Amino acid sequence: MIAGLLVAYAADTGASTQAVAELIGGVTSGSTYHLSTPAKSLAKNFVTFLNTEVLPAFDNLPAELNLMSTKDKDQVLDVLRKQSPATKWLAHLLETSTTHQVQSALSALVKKLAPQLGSVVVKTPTDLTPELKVQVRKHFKQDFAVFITDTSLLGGILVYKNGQLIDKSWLGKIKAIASLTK
Amino acid sequence: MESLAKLGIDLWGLVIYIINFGILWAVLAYFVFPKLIKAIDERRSQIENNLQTAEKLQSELEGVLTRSQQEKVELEAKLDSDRELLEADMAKAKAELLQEAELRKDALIQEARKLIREEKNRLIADTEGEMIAMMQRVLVKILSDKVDPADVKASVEQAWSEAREEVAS
Repeated sequence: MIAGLLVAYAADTGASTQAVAELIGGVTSGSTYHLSTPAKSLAKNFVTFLNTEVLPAFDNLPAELNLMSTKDKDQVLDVLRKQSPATKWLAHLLETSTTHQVQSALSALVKKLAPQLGSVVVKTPTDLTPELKVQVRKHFKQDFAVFITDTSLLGGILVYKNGQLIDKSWLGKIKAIASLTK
Repeated sequence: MESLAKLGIDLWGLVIYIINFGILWAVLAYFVFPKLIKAIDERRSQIENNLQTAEKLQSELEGVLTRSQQEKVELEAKLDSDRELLEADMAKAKAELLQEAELRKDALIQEARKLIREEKNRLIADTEGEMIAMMQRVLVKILSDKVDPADVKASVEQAWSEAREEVAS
């Protein structure tokens, strides 16, 4: 279903049908290493589009979107629908799925389209402000960042980047103090 | 003769008695006395032999008694010597047993002390662990319930400014 976003982007940019079909085939089979040049170019442009347009739009969504009433949610998604065909498709996805599900699906898609990109997971006890999300994405511009809210962290931030863990959370500090006394 | 007759003694009768006695004596001396003497001699000889045998036996018995006495003395001396050796061995064994028991007692005391120390350390560690776990729970409870959400947001921003320096872009 997330591939619909790719089709919408391709339609919007006028990419060749053959390249789109090849790319979707590669995404579906899980092998995007042996694509033709147009398909590779489309994949690269699509990932750039995701990073520059879709993800900022996604980050600007209210944190409580999943808890909103249908009417309020529709109002928010209407704004999204008017931006571009791709964001329209994103709005459609958000109608039927939670933000977390969409974010996970986007992350999986990017991993298939651009395996060379790093993966970053940012966990916070409360939702990050859009400004801070922008800062984080700007910092990790070579990677695909995913934001997760985890109240058990209590405070601070926890960052996984390609296997590296930077734990600045309050829970991490409590655990560190506890382990020091053992 | 007449005087003998007055006394009531018949001389011819006396002579006849004497002749009879002589005949009897001669018969006895010829037939009985040699055999009697021979029997008496044989009896004497037998008694002497018996006496010699008895003396010999007495002498042998005295020898045996002497040897037996000597052996008894030697045996008693040997027994005394063996007893002394045995007592010395027993004393040595007792000393060794006492020493071994002392060593085992020391080892047991050391082992008991070690176990007590380990148990004490374990109890302290358990208590510390429980205290830490309790403090952890209290801290988590306080931080999750009592902290202002604005402070949490501020902590996120602060933590990000620290983390971004550690994480390469």
